[in-house]
Amino acid sequence: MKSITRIEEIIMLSILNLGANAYLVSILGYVSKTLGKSVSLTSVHLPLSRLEKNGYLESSFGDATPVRGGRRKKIYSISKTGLQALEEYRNISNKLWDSYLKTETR
Amino acid sequence: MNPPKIFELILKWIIDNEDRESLVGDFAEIYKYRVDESGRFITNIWYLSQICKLIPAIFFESIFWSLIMFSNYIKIVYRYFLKHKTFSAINLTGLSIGIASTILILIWVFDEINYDNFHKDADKIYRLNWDFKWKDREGIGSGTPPPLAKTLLNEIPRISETIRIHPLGDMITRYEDIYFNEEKIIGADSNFFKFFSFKLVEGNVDKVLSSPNSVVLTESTAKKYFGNVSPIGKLIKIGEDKIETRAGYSQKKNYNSLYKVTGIAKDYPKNSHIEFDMITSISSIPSVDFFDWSWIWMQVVTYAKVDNKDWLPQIEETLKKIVGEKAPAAFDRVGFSYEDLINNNGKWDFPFQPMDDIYLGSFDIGNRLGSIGNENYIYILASIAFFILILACVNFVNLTTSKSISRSKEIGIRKVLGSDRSKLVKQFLAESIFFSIISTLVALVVVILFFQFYENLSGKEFSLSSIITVKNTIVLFGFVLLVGILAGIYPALFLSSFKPSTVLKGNSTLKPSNLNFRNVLVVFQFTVSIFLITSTLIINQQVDLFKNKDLGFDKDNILIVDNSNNKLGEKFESFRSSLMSKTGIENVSITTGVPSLSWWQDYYKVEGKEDEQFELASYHADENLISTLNFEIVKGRGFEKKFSTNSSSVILNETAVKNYGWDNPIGKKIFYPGTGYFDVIGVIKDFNHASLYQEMFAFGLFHISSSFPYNPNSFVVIKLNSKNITSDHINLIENKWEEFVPDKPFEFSFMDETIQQQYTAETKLRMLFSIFSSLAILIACLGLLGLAAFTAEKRNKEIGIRKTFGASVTSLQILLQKDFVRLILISNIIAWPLAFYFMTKWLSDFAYKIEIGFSPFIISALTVNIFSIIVVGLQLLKTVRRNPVDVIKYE
Repeated sequence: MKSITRIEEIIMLSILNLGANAYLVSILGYVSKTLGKSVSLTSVHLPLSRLEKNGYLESSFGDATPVRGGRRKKIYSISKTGLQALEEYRNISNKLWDSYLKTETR
Repeated sequence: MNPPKIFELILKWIIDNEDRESLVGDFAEIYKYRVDESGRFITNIWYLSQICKLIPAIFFESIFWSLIMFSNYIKIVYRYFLKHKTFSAINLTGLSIGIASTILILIWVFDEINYDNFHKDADKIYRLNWDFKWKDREGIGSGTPPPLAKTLLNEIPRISETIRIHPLGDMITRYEDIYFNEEKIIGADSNFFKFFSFKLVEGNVDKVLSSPNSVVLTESTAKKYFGNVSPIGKLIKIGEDKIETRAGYSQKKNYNSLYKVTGIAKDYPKNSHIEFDMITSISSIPSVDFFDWSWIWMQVVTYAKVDNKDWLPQIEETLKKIVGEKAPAAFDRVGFSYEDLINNNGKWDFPFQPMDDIYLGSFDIGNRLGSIGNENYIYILASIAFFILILACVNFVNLTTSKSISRSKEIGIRKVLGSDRSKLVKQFLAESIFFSIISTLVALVVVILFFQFYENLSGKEFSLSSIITVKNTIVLFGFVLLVGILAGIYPALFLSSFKPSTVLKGNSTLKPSNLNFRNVLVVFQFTVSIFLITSTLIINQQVDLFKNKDLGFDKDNILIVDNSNNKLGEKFESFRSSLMSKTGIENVSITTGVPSLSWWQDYYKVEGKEDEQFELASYHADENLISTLNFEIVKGRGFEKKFSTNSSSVILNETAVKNYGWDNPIGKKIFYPGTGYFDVIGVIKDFNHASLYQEMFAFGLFHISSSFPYNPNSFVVIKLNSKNITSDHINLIENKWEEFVPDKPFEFSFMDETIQQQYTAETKLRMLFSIFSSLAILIACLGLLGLAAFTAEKRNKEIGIRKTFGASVTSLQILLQKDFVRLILISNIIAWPLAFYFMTKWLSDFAYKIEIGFSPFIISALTVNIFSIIVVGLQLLKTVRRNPVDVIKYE
C-alpha cells in the first residue's frame, strides 16, 4: 500500500488542479487559498521533496521569469504511482465515509 | 525588487542538492509578493529566518557523517604510520625541522616588528627628526633643539602633547661608597610617565620629574644601589658639580650633581626603542636650559602626539613656517645666516616619524636613546623562513607521492566501494593535516629545547609572555592547517586520480608527467640549498676578511681602559710610569680616540686651498700612541716630549695628504677656525680607524696638549708584550688603577674584540645562513630519498631484467644516478646566478670586500652532488641488490 498523509494529498490534488503550472510558489498559493489560511514555505516544500523521493511526483524544469531573478521553475506533475496512491487514499476515505453514512441513515 | 544578493548566495551555499537553482528562484518570487505586502525590511527578516531554519539540519547532517568518516581516516593514517615506520619518521622529521625553523624565525621577526607597541598611544606618537642640508653637508638625525617641543605645543593646536628627552651619556653615579658608570641616564620632561606607557611602581606620575634634581630609578637600578632598602628620598650623585660655561656666551650655570630619588619605574620593556636605567628631570641639566633659545643645538629628542595622521602634512607645513620665523634669530646669535642657508638650497626641517617606524625605519636617522633594527634582516629572515617551509612541504609532497604505488590498491578499493574523488581528497588532506599537527607538536618541543641557544644566537631576549598569546595560538593553528593543506593538496589530487580498473589490475601506470612535476620540485629544493650554501660560503669569506684584514695597526694584545671625563686627570703620567715598570707591559698611551670606537670629526682649512673646507677625523693623543698601536711613519716624525711645539703640530695620514694635493707635506699648515694653525710634522700610513664598511678617509693625529676642542672621551691604551692577555695582567692594571683613582670605576675592553663587535651583524648573518643552509640540504636530501625510492619501485622490474642479463650493481647505480645528477646540475645552473646576484648586492655595502671567486660555487655544487649521490646510492642499493627472481616472478 502506498501511504500518503493528509497534507500530501492536499498538495498532490493542488498539483493536479494547477496542471502545467505547478511549482513551489503556485502550489503554496493554491493550498493557502483552498485552506483559507497562510501556509509556511517549509510545510509545502518538505512534503514535496518526500513525495518526489518516493516517486509519487515527477519534476521538470520550466521557464525562467524575470520575477524569479531569471531562475528556472521546478514544475511538478503526478506520476503513475502518485495517481495510484491518490486513488487509494480516496478509496479508503470513501469506504469509511460510506460505511459511516450507511449507519447514520439506517 | 530582488532579494539581497548576499542572502541568495548564502541560501545557495546551504542548499546542497540539484534543486538549488529553482528553490532560490521560488524564494525570489515569494520575496517579491511579501515585499509588496509587508515591506522590504520585514521581508528581509523573513528571508533570513528561513535561512536560519535551514542551518541546523544541514549542519547536523554534514558533521555527523564527516565525523564518522574522519575517525576512519585517522585510523588509516595511524595504521599507515605503523606500517611504514621509517618512511613516516623521515616525513615527520622533514616537516618538523621546517616548522621549527619557521616558528623560530617568525618569533624573531614578530619581535622586531612589534617594537614599541606597548605604548597606549603608539599610533599617535611621533618622533621629530632633523632634516638638514647645509652647503655640502646634508643628513637626517634624531636630535632636535630644546625649544621645538614648546613651540609645537604652543603654536600648533592640533598637537596635544610633547616631550623632550636628553640622553646624558656616560656618567659616574654614586651613592655612599657604591658607584657605577651609568650609560643609560636620560633627562626627561615631567610628563614622561604620562606621555609614554612606561610604568611607575612608586611615586606620583605627575610629580616625580617636576622639580630639578629629581631622579626616577628603574627597579633593577634601585636594587643595584640600595638592595632591598627603599630608595625614595635618598640622594644620589650623578657626575660632578661644576660650573658650565659655553664658549662665546657670558652666561654661567651651576650643575648640581645631587639628585633626590622621587620614584621607581618598572624596567623598560625589551622591545622599547627608548632605553633607560635612570630618568632625571630635564630641568636639572644646565645645557638644555642654556640653549632654550637655540634652533641649532640638536641635543634633545622630541616626541609629539597627534590624534589624526591626516593632519600631519598640514602640521609639517605650519611647522616649516614657524621655524622660518624663529630660527633666523638663533642663527644670527652664533654668526650664521638662516637666509643664506635657505637661499643656497639648504633646508632645516623637522619631519614627523611615526612611533612604530622608529625601530626599523631609522637606518639613516639613528636612535639616540637605544638600539635600532635592520629592516633588511627582517626581509632576509622572513624569506628564509618561507623557503624552508616550502622546502619541507615539497619534501612531504615528494615522499607521499613516492609511496603512491603501495597505496594504489587502497585507493582502488575505496573507489570501487563508492568513495568519490572529493572524499578521497578529503581523506588525504586529513592525513596531511594530521601529519602537520604531529610535526608541529614535535617542532614546538624542538623550539622549546633550542630557545636558549636561539636567544644567544640572536642576541635578543624574547619575552615569552608576549609570544604565547591567544592571537598567536590561533595563528599557529591556522599555520598548521596551512602547512597541512599546502603539503597535502598535490598528493591528494594525484592519488585520488587513480583509475580503479587500472590500479586493481596491478599495472601501476604512473604518467610521466607526474614524475616531471616531482622533478621540478626536486630542482626547486636543490636550487634553494645550493643558493644558501653558496651564499653562506661567500658571507664566510667576507667575515673572514673583516677578521683578518690588516688594518694598518696592531690590534692584538691591546687593552683599552676607559678614562672618559678624564678620570685619571693629572695622575696619568705617574699611573703610566708605574705601569711601565712592570714586566709584561710594553707601552701605555692616552688618547681621545681609539680605532673603531671613537673619533672626532671636524672641518679644517688647509694651506694652499684657503677657500675650501676639508673634513678630518682626529684623535688627540700623547707621544706614545704611534708606537703603542704601531702606526707606520712614512714621512717626518711623531710627537716627541722634548719639543714644546707639540700642541701646534699635527700628523696626517696619506689620504689626507693626497686630498690636500701636497707633494711635500712636512711643514705645511692646517687651520682650525678660531684656534689657530697646526704644522704638519709627519705622515703616517693609512689605517682603518673606522670600520671596513667605510673607505679610508682623511685623518689627523693631534697632541693631547692642544686644547681644542672639548672632548670628554678619553682612553688609556695599554700594549702587553705577551702572547695572551691573562687575568694576571688585568688584575695588575686594575690594582694600579685602584691605587691611583679608587673612587672611579675601572672599565676595560680588548681592542680586537671591540673591532670585531662592529661586524656582529655579519657574524650573525653567517651563523644564520650556516644553520639554515644545513637544514635546507638536510630537508632536500630527505626529499631526494623519497624520489629515489619512488624511482626504484617504479623501475624494479626493469632492474630485475637488466640484472638477469648481467648488469652489474655499479652499472645499475650509474644508470639510475644519472637522472638525479642531471637534476642537481640543473639546480646548480639556476642557483649560481641567483647567488651571484644577491651576494654582489650584499657586498656592495662594504668598502672593503672580497672578490667573488669560483670556489664557493664549485664547493657548493660538489657538496650537494656528493650528498645526493650518497643518499640516492644507499636507497637504490636495496633495489639493485634484490634478487631478480623476487621482482619478475609475477610476470
